[in-house]
Amino acid sequence: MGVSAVTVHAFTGGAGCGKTHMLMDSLSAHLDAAPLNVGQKVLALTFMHGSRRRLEERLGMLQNLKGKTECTTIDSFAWRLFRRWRSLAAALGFANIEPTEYERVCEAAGALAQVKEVHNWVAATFPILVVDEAQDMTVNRLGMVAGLANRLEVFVAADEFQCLSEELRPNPACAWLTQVCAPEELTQPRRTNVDELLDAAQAIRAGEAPKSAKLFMIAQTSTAPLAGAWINSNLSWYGGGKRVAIITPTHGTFSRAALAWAAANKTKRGAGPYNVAWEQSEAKAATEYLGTIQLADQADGVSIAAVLAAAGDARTARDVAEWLEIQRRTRAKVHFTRDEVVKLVEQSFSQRRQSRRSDVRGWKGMTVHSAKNREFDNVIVLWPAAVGGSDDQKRRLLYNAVTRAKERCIVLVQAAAHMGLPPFA
Amino acid sequence: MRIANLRIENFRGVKSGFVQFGRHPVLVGDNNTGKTTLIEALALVLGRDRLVRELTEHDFFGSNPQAADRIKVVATVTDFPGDDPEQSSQWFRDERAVVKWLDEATGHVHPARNNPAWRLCCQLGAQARFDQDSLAVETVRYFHDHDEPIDPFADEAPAPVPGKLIQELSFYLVRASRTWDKVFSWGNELFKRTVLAAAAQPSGALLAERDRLRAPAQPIDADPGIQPLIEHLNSELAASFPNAPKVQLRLTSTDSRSVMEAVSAHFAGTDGFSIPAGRQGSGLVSMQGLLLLLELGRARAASGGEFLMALEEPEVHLPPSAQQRLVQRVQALSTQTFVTTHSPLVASMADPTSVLILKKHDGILSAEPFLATPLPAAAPNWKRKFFQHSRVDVLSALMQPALLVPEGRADFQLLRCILRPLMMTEGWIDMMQRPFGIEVGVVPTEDANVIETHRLMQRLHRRVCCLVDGDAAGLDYADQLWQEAAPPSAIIRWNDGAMIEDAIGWILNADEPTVVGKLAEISPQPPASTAAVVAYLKTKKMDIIAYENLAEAIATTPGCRARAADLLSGLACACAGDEATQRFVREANGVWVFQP
Repeated sequence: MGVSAVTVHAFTGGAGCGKTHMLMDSLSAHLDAAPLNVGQKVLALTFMHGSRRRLEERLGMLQNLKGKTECTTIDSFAWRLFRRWRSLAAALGFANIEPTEYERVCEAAGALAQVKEVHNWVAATFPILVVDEAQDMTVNRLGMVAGLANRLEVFVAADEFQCLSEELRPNPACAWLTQVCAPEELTQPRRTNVDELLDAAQAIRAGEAPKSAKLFMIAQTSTAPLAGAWINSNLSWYGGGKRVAIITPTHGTFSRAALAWAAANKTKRGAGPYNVAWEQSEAKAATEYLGTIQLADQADGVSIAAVLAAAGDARTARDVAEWLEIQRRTRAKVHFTRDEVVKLVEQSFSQRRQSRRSDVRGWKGMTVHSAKNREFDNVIVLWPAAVGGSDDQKRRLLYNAVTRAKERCIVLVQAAAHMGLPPFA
Repeated sequence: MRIANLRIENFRGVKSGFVQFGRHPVLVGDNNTGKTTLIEALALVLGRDRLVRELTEHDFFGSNPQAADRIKVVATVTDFPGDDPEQSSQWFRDERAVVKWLDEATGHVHPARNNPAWRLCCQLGAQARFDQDSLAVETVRYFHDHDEPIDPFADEAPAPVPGKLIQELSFYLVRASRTWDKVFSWGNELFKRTVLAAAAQPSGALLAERDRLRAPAQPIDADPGIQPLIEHLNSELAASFPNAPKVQLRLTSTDSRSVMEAVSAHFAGTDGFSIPAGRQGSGLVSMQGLLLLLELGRARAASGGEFLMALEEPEVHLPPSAQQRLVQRVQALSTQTFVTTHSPLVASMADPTSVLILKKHDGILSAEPFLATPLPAAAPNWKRKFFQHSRVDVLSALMQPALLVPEGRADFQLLRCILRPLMMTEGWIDMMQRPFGIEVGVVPTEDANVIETHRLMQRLHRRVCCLVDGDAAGLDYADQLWQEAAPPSAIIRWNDGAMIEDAIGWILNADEPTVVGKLAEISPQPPASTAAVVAYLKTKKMDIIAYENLAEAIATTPGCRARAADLLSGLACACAGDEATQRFVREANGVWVFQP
């Protein structure tokens, strides 16, 4: 890759240090100096749909951009490249790739993006590329971004410490950034001005013990009922009218039981019961949905549509019925296998994730992974005894959970023994 | 830009087809060889929406489209400046075409430029399906990225071609059925477009006309003839409504739009009379639209834009001199033209390498250039004569179902001379089992080059037959022809030792006294017998005056006429491989031999 020709503007730094803000500022300054031509747009790539929507909102606020942006996930842009340049990809040795083989798609897209005609082709529409959360890019995904960087003006935000995948260490994206540019390190936190939260985050990041105080508190709760009582009192005191997230590294027995208790009981002081909905992954939701319906191995479109209509999920029923109708009208296909329908239901659920609104009001439960890059007024961390991984990994998990909070954060630790171990010591 | 090739599947009479184009191709071919289908396919993939006719079931091959059947047309566009995608980024960028490379020699498109001679190209596709529920045809136009099968109606939707690019290509089509009555008028889309592109709206004159119509110097309603009626109407109105308005009669609705739509072109003759276009002959009517297109082309050329024009059958309604001028003007002003024609004359105006002979067999459409590459300086004289001097004859023979290569030019002339008066005789067609003039085209073989001429024609026509003499040289030609990699569809020869003049002798022998009497002027000494006529014809080859006398004598002598018809229809049978004739019999070696 012609490193010399690459123009990359990179911003690194801890959570809430305003990387995205700086990204927008420098992009805006660049646009003032070199406005887009007619028909040109800014391409913004993120790792997950949640961050895509947030980035879209941020870019939407840039006055000199006037909405001339296209925000998409790295994976869907990779598929788009591969799909359009399929014959060149085949010539480069990439053939027979399904859209769900994300890594292979990205690998092919990376090879394509290195080709002059391809990155020029992208640059003709998108002279500028914005990548947020770059630390989450695998080698293949980075390959596509690096290829495009041969021609596109690239603006990147990354924080190595927020990468939760243990396979990405050392982090390929951060290594690449230091190779192609001098990333600007941001150190001034902006998300919150609560000192206790800032200190705790800094300590965890530095491998030190976070200090439990008032607005950042660590409590040991050996049993689920105890944790549930803490949750209810916290919600009762600090939950009214606030965005609250209950975050756990692994949603297992402890967190389920704690939430179940909270939903069924009052504390001695009368707080609760509070039912906090758990944000489910779409794949899981699809599996659960499929568990409730009976599909024959082979059935005709009309009866499949009837089964789904009776199952109650109107959106999925509509998605599937539409697809069945298209198949009938364009291919005279009226019989479908169970697998075909399952694939479609899964697709329908995964599309919901893409269109779901990003701002969460009220109270929600979620894993650290799905809390990434979001912010809440009040965060309750459930730290079960079963958290695995290295000390470093545990620190990253806690850091990602704690830094979601703007006003206060409480960490409920199940195992007493953990109190003296990283990330708490 | 230029359309380098076109692939067609399942469109009208074409099951599949692939045709490559140069800059100004002239497409010739018999009826039903797919000329119109080809032009309509171009319009489907390149034309603005207005240009595309609404499709029905009959536009699908076989006329009975099932749910999964698709019409598919893919056009390869090339000649981009500098073969550099960045200079044409409106074509090559995300959501537009992907970069591909065209090998013009083969027509193949490659994903990477492995050969510097390959040209930058993009491919546009159009597909259509018939919906059995709504009974309508759905059409999409998209960038054709790769040849893997995709269904734009059921799979992930391909990138659509924006109207802006279609406008930039500026493809115009002049159909053979020209229904151009009010062409020079604002009711006509082409006229409006041309006015804006090539001139400016005559708004001053139109507004003045509007104002004049609003306040006429001599109002119709004030005419003494109609005035009593108007007065009654006004008084009735006044009795019905307070402050009733008064009736006025005006031409048009007196706004600029209705003035524009009311404009009707007149043509003032040298005699001073001005006659509206609708009252003119069809030649002038169809000329109007072509004139507008020429102006539009001129405006496009002046602004450096593209102008692609398809012109169906310029011979319709136009005198030959106008045809030639028009075709040349259209070609000069356009980036690329597609001319279809039935007329060998129109085809012969073009450079022989740009004339494409269309062939369609079992629904498979293909095209071959009349001459594959320009003739080199060293090309033999006979070849030059054949492709240049004789090309009207060769092209017209190519449009027939069977093509006959005789051994010499005399055969060509004699067959043609005899056929002509025969075809004008009442009932001639009933006299023949197979109508020679309709089924067989004869080419003027030069210098007895029957072998080479056969080879040249083999590429262009599926049914090429050869006719040789019954002498030693002729037998030798027949042997050589059998040895060819692709031997003729039929080899025909005159009887042993005979040539065409002997066959003429056989025709004359049907009524020797009568016909010889009619041939007194054929030679300096009036012939006394058919044998003398034959001897004269053999010594004086290519005496066209003599041939015409002979033809006239045969056509007017019933017995000879019957034999001539018998011979020609037998020849047509032999060409078609039809054993229904007794006049020609296929021998054991496969050669059809004349039986006098």
